Formats: sequence, structure tokens, C-alpha cells
Amino acid sequence: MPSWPLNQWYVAAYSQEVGDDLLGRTICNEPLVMYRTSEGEVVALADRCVHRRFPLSMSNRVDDSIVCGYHGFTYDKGGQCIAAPAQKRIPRTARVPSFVVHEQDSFVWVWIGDNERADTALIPRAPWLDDPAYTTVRGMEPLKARYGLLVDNLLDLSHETYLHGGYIGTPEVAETPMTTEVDEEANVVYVSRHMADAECPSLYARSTGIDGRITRWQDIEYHPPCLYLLHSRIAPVGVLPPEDGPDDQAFHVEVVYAITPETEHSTHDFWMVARDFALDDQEISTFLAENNRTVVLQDVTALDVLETVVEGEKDHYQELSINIDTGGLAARRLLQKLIAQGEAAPVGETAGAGDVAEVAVRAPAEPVPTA
Amino acid sequence: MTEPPLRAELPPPTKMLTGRSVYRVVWKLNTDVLVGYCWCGESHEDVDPIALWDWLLAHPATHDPAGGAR
Repeated sequence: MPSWPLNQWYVAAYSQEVGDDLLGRTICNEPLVMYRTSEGEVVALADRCVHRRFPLSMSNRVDDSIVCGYHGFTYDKGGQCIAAPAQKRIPRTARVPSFVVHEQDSFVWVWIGDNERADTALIPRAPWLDDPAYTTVRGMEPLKARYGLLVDNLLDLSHETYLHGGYIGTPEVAETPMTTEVDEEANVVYVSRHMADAECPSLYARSTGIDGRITRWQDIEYHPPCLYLLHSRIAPVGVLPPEDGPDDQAFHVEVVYAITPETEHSTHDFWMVARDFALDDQEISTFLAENNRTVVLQDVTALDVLETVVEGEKDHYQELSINIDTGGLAARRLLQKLIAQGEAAPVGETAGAGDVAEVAVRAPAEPVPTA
Repeated sequence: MTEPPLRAELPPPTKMLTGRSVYRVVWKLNTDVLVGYCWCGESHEDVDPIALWDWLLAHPATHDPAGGAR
């Protein structure tokens, strides 16, 4: 059983990555080949020829078909083999699995599970990534660590003060009360940290032009398993959103991560920073992109190390959780709930509220209370 | 091992999610006290987030079925 939920949507790529060329990428242990048909539709097929397993992503595209680069088995966009060398009849079983994909908010989402259960209405939204009122910079870093370590990392931003000091960390981040919320029906974890009077990190001072202290809000919204949103609101001290009308006296930065497992020990770390100010300022775009990538790579370095530590540790190692982990623990529990629901079958027979209450908060590595 | 927490002066919880079944945990950093609110309105304090989540998740079992549970 995998450590991620099945029957869920995962980000497989940015839309801009998928074009005429064949793109190979492993998502949740499924090697996929993706391309865009002549009609603009994204296709995702299993990246293994049925004949001798040659990766189709290393093969050749002919019109909207893929011709295997080893023996010439040819597949249409649905994965059906339509030609085989010197064969008059194509074996009925000659097809590669096709995956359900959906493009939304600049992402290519792929459904990992039973195709008939795929429902695009379940895909969480990040509309600003594809909104002309925002400018977005983005990247993707390979992480040699399990996806759960990145979830832990992103759900607790108090690590900013230590791992990212001088970039996005200021003393107030680790010194401000937090509220953690969990919507049991919508499966969302929300962690709010509203700093009324805070130092302005250099990254924001430079990009917004605010001179002086700020009201800084960090609102994390995690839609497990894949989509993480950090709504960052920066305004001069005391400027709060109006009761009615647009919040146009503040600067908004939407930091988005798509956390997609590649294997049990590696993850695709998609990151984006969208802003609603200085839209055409290329210098600020470059600055935000370079700065954020630096921060992401600081996390990657730390998590790659953690993966080797976790892999090498003894069974039943007991970690310690404290108050800053409240959101991370909530995320782990929702993931456990989704894993159980994803394994259970058909829609309509998924776990109800009573079952949900029985899903333990404690992850396998959590300590057993001794009090 | 851990003594029961003291009640802290807490700000009202920031309410961002508006669903029917929202658990809410508030922490004031000048203390080590977490206060958890079930969606029925009842609250509970602890200094151990694992114990607090255990309390919150078990709590709906005591609800009137019409009180918000699915």
C-alpha cells in the first residue's frame, strides 16, 4: 500500500511543460508519458510499451500517435495499439493504460486511481496562477525525500526564522499566535498567523516599496494531498481589509506548492509565487524568482538529509511534537483519512464522520503519551 | 508527566474556514496552552497537540446526531 492516497488528483506538470514533445515523468510510482495532441488536448499514458517495456517517452511522436522506439508498436492517444511490426492483427490486449487528466489554473492534473471515479469538481483551485491580474514566477525542484517531509515542512512556518533567516524569516514569525483549523467535510487544513506589527522582510520591502513596519498575514490552506496555498498579505501597520470592496490597500502574494509524490522516497516540488502588484516589473519578477528558489533549495537540502536520516533510523523511533506542529499533525491525520478512503472502494461507501473520528492523529512515528 | 495546563488569556480564535464541521485550535505563544474548539462550541485545553487532537476527534461521538455530524 503506498504512503499517499489513491483516487486523488495530483499535479503532473505545468501546462506550459506539455507540448509537442514527449514528456516522461513518474507520478505516484506510475511512469507516465505526456504530450499535447494536434487539437491541444493533453494525453497521459503509461510510459511502457506493452511489448518489451521500452519507455514511450523515449520514442517518437507521429501525428497524434507514439511509435515505440524499440520495435515500432504504435499507440493512439487513448493508448490503443494500432500497429505492430509485420502483424496483420493487433492483439486485443495490446494497449497501454490511459490516465484521466484535466488542465486547470496552469496545471496538468492527473487522476491516480480508478478512472471511473475521477471527478474534476474535486480539484482544488488556485485561480490567480492563470489570472491576468497577477504575475506568477515558478519552478520545480526534484526532492530526494518522501512527500510527507515536505508537508511537515510547509505546514509549520516557524522554521522560516531558522532555516530561512535573512530571506523570509523575521523574529515575529516564530513569536505570533497561530490558529489552526480543520474542515472535516472539505478536508482542508488552515493555519493562520496574523502579525499586527512586524518587521518587513527584505524580500517584501524591496518588492512592494513599503517603508517601515507592516501588518503581515500568513494564511496556509492545505488541500491534501497535493495543493498547498500560502496567502500572504502585506500592508502598512494597521491597514486591515475593508468590510466591503476590494482589499486594494494591501499587497497580496500567493505562494503555491504542488506536492506530488514521485516514488516512496522522492517528490516533485512545484513552487510558484503570484503577486497582484508591479505586474510588469521584470526586475521584481527576477528578484522574487531567485529569492524563492533559494528558499526552496534550502528546504530541499534539509529534507534530502532528513530522508536519509529517516531511512536509516531504527524501527519505532519516537519523535516529539510540540505546539508548532498542530497544523502538521492535522495534515498527517487528514492524509491518513484520505489513504483509508482511497483504498476503500466505491464512491458512496466512503468513511462517514464516525469512521473519521477513529483515524488516529498520531502518525506511526509519533510518541505514545506516557502521562 | 505533564501537569494539566493553566487557562490562558486568549484572543478570540481567528475564524477563516466557514464549513459546518470545523475544528479550531488556538495557541497563545506566551503560554504553552493550546485550546481546541469542537464545531459544537465546546472547548478543551492541553499542552500536548497530540492529546488535544485525540480529544477533538473523539468529541463528536458525544454530539447529538443533528449537531453537525454527517
